[in-house]
Amino acid sequence: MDSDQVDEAKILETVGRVLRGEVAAFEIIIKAYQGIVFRVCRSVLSNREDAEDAAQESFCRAFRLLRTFRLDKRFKPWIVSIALNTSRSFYRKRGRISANASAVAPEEVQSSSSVEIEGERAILKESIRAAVQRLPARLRDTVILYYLEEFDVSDVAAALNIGKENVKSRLHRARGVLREILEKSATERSDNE
Amino acid sequence: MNCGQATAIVARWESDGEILTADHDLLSAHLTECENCRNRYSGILLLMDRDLGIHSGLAAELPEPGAAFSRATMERLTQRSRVIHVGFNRLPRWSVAVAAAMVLVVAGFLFYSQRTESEANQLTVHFVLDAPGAQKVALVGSFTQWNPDKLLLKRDRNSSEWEISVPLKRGETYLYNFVIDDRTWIPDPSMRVQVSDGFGGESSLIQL
Repeated sequence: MDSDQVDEAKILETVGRVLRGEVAAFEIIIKAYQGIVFRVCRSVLSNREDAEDAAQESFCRAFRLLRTFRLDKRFKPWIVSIALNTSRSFYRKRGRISANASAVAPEEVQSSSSVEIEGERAILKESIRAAVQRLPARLRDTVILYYLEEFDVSDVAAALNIGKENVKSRLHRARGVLREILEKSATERSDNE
Repeated sequence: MNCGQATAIVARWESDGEILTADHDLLSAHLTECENCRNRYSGILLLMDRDLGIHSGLAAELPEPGAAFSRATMERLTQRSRVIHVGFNRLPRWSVAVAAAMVLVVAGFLFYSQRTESEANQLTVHFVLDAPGAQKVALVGSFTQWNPDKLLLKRDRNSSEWEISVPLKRGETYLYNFVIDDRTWIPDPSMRVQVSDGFGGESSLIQL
């Protein structure tokens, strides 16, 4: 189950169960959001192992903070906010400078190949993800949540703890930078052909 | 459609993130005919899908965590959640101090709290709480007479980490909680030792 199929009402019910002492029910929440939490951590950290470590730590933090979660809010932006903060803490503590990586890590390219999705659309998606990785950190987080994870503006704002207008402003700047990066990549590709 | 019109559509989208379905379709058709524009704007078209509410699947092929991830996370979480419950009101003070000292030896480094030395009899303790969505976070404890109005944590505008530095007496033992939005009292998630507060809840214990 991935987070785009998650029923928020069911998750809120599960939160209630955990808070009433049914700790084992928390695994339902982990399974529902492990994909997006891992992807968010992976977008900040430079390798898969650190991303998995940070993702696990994110869920541990969420468990400890569960009592502070407001049941009138959406759970997805809340858990993503914790994942972003946790992975940034890992990044600072471990000194892994992965911001503005110039290219998608090789393992990402290999896993795209190994999934055997061929064709121009798959290559395009890869080039977009590579371009996103080259954005400055604040723009990158916003773009990942909005364009890749398809959060709406309200959820992006909640996850990043910023206002909706700030989200729109960042997206505006990011679109311009992405267009330039994608055009430049396309020019380099055709020069090499 | 010509290349100039294609560029104008992209420029409008870049400016406000809006794209009409008709413009999207015209652009898409133009890219099938114009190699130059196709090279420049094919990626942009995928992003435009998202603004039109069309699922682009950009995240779909990214790696997922391993198959054992949820189980491994539950094990980590269960180990971290083991607390030493001490009935504070029922045990003599000396045994609480011994228990606190033992836990400090076992627990080691305070993940969120740092110590900086100020004066000879004081230590400045830095309290941090990651509380996304909170509007107000207060620190309460025996050093504030449990008054939630005395010590309010602060956060940076774009962060969900709340923090405060408090000078406390060296050698003393303190109980404390965080209060979220004047409503929810929680012990410090970064501290392993939690102590019954005698009112059905738990507080964190720190010995300096």
